[in-house]
Amino acid sequence: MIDPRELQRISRRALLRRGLGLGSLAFLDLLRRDQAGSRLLRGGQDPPGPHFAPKAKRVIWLFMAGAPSQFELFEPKATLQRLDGQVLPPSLIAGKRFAFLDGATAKLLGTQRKFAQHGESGATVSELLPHTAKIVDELCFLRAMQGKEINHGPAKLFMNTGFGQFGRPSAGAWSVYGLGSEAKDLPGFVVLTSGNRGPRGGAPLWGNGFLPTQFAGTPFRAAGDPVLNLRNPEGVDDAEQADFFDTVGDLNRIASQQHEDPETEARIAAYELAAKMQTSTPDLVDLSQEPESVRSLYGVQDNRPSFARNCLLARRLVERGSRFVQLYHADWDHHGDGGNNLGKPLEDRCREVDQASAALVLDLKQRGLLEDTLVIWGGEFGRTPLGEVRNFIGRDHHIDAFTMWMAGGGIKAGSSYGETDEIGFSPTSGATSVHDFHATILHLLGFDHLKLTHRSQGRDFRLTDVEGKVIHQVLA
Amino acid sequence: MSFGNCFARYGLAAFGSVLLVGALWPRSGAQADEPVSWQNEIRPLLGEKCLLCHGPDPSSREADLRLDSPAGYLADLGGYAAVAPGDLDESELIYRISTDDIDERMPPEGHGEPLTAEEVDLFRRWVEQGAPFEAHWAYAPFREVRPPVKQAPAASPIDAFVSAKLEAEGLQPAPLADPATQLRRLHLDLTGLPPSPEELASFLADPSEQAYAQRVDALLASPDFAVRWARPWLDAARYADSHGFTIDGGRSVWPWRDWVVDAIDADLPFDEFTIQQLAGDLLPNATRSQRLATGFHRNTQINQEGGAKDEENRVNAVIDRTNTTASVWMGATMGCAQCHTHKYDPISHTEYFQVYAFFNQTRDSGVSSDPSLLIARSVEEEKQAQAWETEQHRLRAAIVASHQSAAEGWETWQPRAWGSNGPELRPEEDGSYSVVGQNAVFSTYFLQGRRSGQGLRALRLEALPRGGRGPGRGSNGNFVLQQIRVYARHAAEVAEGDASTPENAEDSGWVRLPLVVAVADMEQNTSSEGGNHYPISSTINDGPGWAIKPGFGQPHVAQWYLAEALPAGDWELRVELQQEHGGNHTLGAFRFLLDDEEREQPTESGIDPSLVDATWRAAIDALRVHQSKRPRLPMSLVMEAREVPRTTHLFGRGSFLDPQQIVEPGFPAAMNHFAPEAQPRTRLDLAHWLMDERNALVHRVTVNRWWQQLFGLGLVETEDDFGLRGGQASHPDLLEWLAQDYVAHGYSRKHVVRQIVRSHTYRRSSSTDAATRAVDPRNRLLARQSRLRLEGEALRDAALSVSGLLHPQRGGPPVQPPQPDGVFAFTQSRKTWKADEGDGRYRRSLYTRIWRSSPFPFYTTFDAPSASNSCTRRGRSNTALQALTLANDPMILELAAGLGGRLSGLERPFEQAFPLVLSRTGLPNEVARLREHWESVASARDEMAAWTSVGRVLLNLDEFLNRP
Repeated sequence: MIDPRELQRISRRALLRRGLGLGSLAFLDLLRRDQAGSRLLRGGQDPPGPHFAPKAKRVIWLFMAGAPSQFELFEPKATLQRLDGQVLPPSLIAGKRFAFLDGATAKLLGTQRKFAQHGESGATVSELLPHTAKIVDELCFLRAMQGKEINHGPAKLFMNTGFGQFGRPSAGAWSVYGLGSEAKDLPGFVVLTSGNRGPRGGAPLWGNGFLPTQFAGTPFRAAGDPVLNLRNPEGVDDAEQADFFDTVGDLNRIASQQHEDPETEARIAAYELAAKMQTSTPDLVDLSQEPESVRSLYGVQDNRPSFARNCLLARRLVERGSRFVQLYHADWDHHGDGGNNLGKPLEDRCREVDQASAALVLDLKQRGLLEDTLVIWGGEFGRTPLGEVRNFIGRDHHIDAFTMWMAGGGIKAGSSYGETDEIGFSPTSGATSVHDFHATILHLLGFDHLKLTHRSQGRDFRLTDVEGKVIHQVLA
Repeated sequence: MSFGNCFARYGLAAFGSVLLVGALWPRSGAQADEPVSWQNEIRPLLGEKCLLCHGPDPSSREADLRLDSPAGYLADLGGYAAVAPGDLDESELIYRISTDDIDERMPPEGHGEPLTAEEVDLFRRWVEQGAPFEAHWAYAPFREVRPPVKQAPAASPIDAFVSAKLEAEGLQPAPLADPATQLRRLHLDLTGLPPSPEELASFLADPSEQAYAQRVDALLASPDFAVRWARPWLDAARYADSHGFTIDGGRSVWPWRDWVVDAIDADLPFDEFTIQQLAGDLLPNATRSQRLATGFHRNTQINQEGGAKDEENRVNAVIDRTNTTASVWMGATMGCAQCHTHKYDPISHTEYFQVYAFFNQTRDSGVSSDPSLLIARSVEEEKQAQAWETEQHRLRAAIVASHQSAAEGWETWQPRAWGSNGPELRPEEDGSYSVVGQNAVFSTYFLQGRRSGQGLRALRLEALPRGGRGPGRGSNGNFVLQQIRVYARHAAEVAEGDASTPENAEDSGWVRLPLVVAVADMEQNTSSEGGNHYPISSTINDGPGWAIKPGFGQPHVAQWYLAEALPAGDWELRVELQQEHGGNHTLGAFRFLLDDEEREQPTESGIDPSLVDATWRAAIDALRVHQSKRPRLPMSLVMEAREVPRTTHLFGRGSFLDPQQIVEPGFPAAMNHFAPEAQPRTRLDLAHWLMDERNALVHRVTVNRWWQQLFGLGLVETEDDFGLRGGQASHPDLLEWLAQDYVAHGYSRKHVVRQIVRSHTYRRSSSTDAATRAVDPRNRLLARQSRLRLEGEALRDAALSVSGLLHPQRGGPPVQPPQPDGVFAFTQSRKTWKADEGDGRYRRSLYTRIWRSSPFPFYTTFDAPSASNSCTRRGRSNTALQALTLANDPMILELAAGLGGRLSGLERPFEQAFPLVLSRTGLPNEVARLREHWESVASARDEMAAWTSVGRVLLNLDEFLNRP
């Protein structure tokens, strides 16, 4: 091992010999990165590291923003079908909150879709998700998820940060904080969005909360350059840009000798990473490098913004070492309005995500990545067994029981956990809180969720707030 | 296992192990004599190991044992105590922490690691020394301190305190920074802008103490001081130009931001600064400026989402105000006590809601932006605004008076429950309800509550217009009330939590009361124009229901009479207003009244225009007309007190869905050593209490924040937590002295800043070597200064300044400098960002528009907070995205071009670049490197591009990013 101080001397000596360009410094850079590069970028701190061997090294979270209806996708209920059109008994609605419905007068709504059992596991999936139906033996369904927040913004915050208001770090930020990133020239936590708008709640959903800023998710833009300011300024070619980075680096090194501030060394490393990102990131998003067979597996058409494109990008990101990739696909809020109901709008959303979600799992599997990549699919809550009749048919927000699935990295394939009552209103077994869900994700990443903490305002905070237990039943 | 049960098994065997343990702990004599500090050693250790179960929170307390006060640890637990001063053998605590018996040892298994030998020894020595206790330093009154006297006189009392500590630690202070560095630091810290080359040259010509002091005074007097120092206050106030959450619509509260700048500029004493912001509206004869100041706590977010609940969001705002006040002024992490009694600090769950109660009395709601204040910018406008508001006030009073007399003899019903199957009914101060939230296609409202000792003969509904619109929520202001249903049951039958309604439960005891006559002031009859007739009679018979077209913008009244009077008794009443016509034809605001008087009643349904008194209608019309004449002036969100007090309940586990006992306003006892008898009522009482000169805690917190601004770290590093788990002051006496000096000098911010920046401690070099860093990596001992990365806003301001493009205009609506395309792609409602073409492009960063859902990316990349919570200390990260931003952002390129242009006109541009941008002379190899870069770009492209590129290099230098 080379002593890092020795490296600094080498780089200073190298500097004295004028004319050393970016390329010739690259070997030094690689050495330094292995020594201390990622540490420098963390402000000189090592990640706390896992508490035990992780089953999953990375996470891809497919977030269905707006909350899909479990009753149209995964949860047919014979009794609900039979009681279609009737009001709920008061014992069930006492004390329940809905965003828009009146629990006393709203009527039960049977599923609007046809279901069948699939795979060896026999999981029920509706006609709307034919591709997902083919991979059910890779999945583990959580059929009794429970939330606490009834509106989209707070519920998305809760699903991401374990708290319904702003200010806490997201699961992705905790993961990168805990494990660091393996990406050499890309951010460790990346957020991709598709659909006709960004998710409600915005940046705090992937925020760092009170953790240092470098752990916040980096949102990639849906088209064009994935991060802002990735291109050379107008009129500047690559040679001039390299000369610019060289000049800044040289001058920073001279200054560093004057005041010996470790932060200056960290800044020099940050500029080197920035220079690399300028070339590596366009390369990342150049999907023409993928064979046609892969592109058609995902359903990627040219390079237009789409959920399919983002799924393929997610795979390319984790291949390059990103730790946590979160995809948001908008507009699952099917209340019963013209644009948002359980008819065509739901069909459109399903068509947009179904093929690519399944393709991602298959593609990861065939590359041997699925075994240590955790894939998550679901919304911020579910939808009511009660119909919400506006101008079309829809359902209101439901937080007492909804469905998500997980796959890969340490998850029991072809399984299902949790059951709900005969109308799907409440769990009868295996109720899984968002805190439990978070505890399980952290467990798969090698963390005891009670111990991954950060002190802020006099309190040790954790992703699971003051609750949460690992759901051992879903572990492989 | 509880502590109590184990205590019961205390006996001879245990006694034996105490002796044994005692024999096992050899100690050096010197250590044994050293006094143990409750505050610095015992209390923190208890906090870490014991207080979760033996602390201030009664709900989680085990064995009824509390260790954080003498009353607790000395308490007689039935023949023994946790601590017997001076007596190790009789002290149960010592036995429990040192025994090997796993069933008896504390902390119990699973509740943390056992204490180390050193920690046990510490407790033993503390007990041996008599178990002394001191009140937590931060909550204690001021103690008298004097700067240590040394042979060599110190430049400032601050230096005397710091040198004494350095001497004790055996450290040498760094020399003073060279004059150029001192000047650059001073300029950046006080104004956020680097010194000009001329200012630099003049100071280098005479870097005397006197010249430095003159620079300090000049900079404190410069208008740029307030622009610089307002920024941390805006962070603390979570200021932004939008409502936040998902819709994130724009809001106007920038006049408050200008108020802050003006107040800091004028050095408004911090007590006034505080009182006006927390309670300016409650000051006697409050001025417009004092009312404007209350915008501080209107910087909470407003959820405009369709399903948002008004009351839930209002409660969240009040919680935010409570927590922010605690954090900003008291350095208290009060948020913990929202859900339960604080686990570590002596703030009980009840005390939390006592502070909450101060803020629970304002008129603002959860989902709308009222009230706002008209902002006058001239004497003329001031008169105009004043006159308009006075008239509005008069007209509102007239409406209340005429409304009351119109309903003479009727009793406003105060139900205990209200709601609908959709929108939310918000109770207003006058007993009416505003319907807020989702504008439902159709809806049924209900009111339910007691009627005790009275009967019922008639009911009255007043449909009320709001702001000239309505009274219905249909697009034209109409509503259709199809049916009114009135039910009663014996109150005694209604159990706690009984949610049965007449519809959802059969045999629930509800009886529907038949109504026989319905009268209204008017009813819609447009049949002659091909429309329909919506008679009032159809609310009790079959028919389309009652509507009021074309009587929009006016109040309308309907009265119903029972077929048979309900006799006096204890009743539970329920009234349902069914409105299922569709097309949003529902009531927008209404009041409901009852009558039990025996009087002459109409015998048949129909119209009685006298139900709406002409004076009442005229008063409402007059207000509508008046409101349409509102002066076209900017507005700013403000706080206004409610006239009718709201009852504050403690919320179980912090949830507003679980209101428990009633709580009155009050101060947290542990922080209130000086006014224990106070019976505060209002925000003004709270503000006066915070600013009481005896409230040492608040003053310590305040000066510590200013210190933090000038050194990067506070004397107490945990500047937002002065509680028991917070950090200790690095220089307790200095903090004490600084806080008292500040009070003695009239709460002057500029005085404190002057004191600090004139000290040698502030002016030292920030260069370090590895050895010093190893001893004191975070510079807590202050042997040197620290390099501090500039905040994003200050960095852009510095770049604007050296580019020569900075536009000095102060104040006014937010401006939009250029930002990269696509910033809004992640927000729910996409905004447009058209960069200003004129001066707004180059104004100081304080004036940049902030959308909460997508703040200006340059600032957030450099750690600007998201304005969602109060932020009293920013991070200082160092990332690749920062590098990409400074290297490539078109906004920076524009400033680089400006800087390059400036350089191109200079005689020796590569030499002169260094004083201009970095306030120092360039080294020969630096100058050469810069020239080399210029030549390479000039030969590949042209000279102009080369100058821009040199400018870009300079703005990207680590040295430019850091305050030296």
